[in-house]
Amino acid sequence: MAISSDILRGHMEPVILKLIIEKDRYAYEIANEIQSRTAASFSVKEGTLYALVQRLERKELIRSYIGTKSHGGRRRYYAITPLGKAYYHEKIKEWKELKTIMSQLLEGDHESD
Amino acid sequence: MKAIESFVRRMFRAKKITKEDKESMEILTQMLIEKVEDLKEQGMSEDDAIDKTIDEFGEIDDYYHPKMAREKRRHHRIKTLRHYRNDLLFASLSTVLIAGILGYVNLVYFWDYGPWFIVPTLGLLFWPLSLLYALLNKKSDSDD
Repeated sequence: MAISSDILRGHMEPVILKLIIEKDRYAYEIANEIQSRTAASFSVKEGTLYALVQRLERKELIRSYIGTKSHGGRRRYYAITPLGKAYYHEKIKEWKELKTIMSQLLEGDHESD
Repeated sequence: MKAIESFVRRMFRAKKITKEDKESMEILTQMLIEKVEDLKEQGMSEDDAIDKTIDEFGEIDDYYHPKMAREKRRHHRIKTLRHYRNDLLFASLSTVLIAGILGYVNLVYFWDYGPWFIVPTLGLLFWPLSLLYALLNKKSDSDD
């Protein structure tokens, strides 16, 4: 199923943060991970993703460093900041609330004839 | 990796490059090169890896901020307005030139038939007039 990328785009920030909280990652690794976790049913355009990563860094929710050679090439890795972690938990709470409300509204069996 | 660098440069072409943009460009170039390197490690040839990377990047609008995209469009509009002006200038000068030649031929060689050169000149005037119309339309478009 192809979900409009506009809908998912708005929820991309916490997704990126979650992947970076798990472990430090470089940009393409994030894109790859999203693809494989959704079994390729959703592919966010990498342009959008890279712009978001840069924005998160500007907002100091993540920070970057250049990896050592042993990481395989000199890649720019992203790591979470305390601010990013706090922001992520806030977003998760928001998401859970929204999920509850939406299922109450859409899955409830209140049809009348 | 020249292809990646010029791809990124092309993306920022229409924009006045600030210090922040320069940094973004460097980081973006690195991100894309990392992907090319990854694909190469998986056994892809460099050319194929570059093609795939650029292809999967998406449209430029996927990357651009809405604000940036707006700026880019505005820049584009000014450019076409300039084109419209050039078109009008070219048409006006050509009309004057052709009308001048017709008038000269009329006066010097065919005066017996009267000032007939006015007729084709009137027809010719529609050329710059229509371009003036297009230019004014374009102008009122870009004012809003």
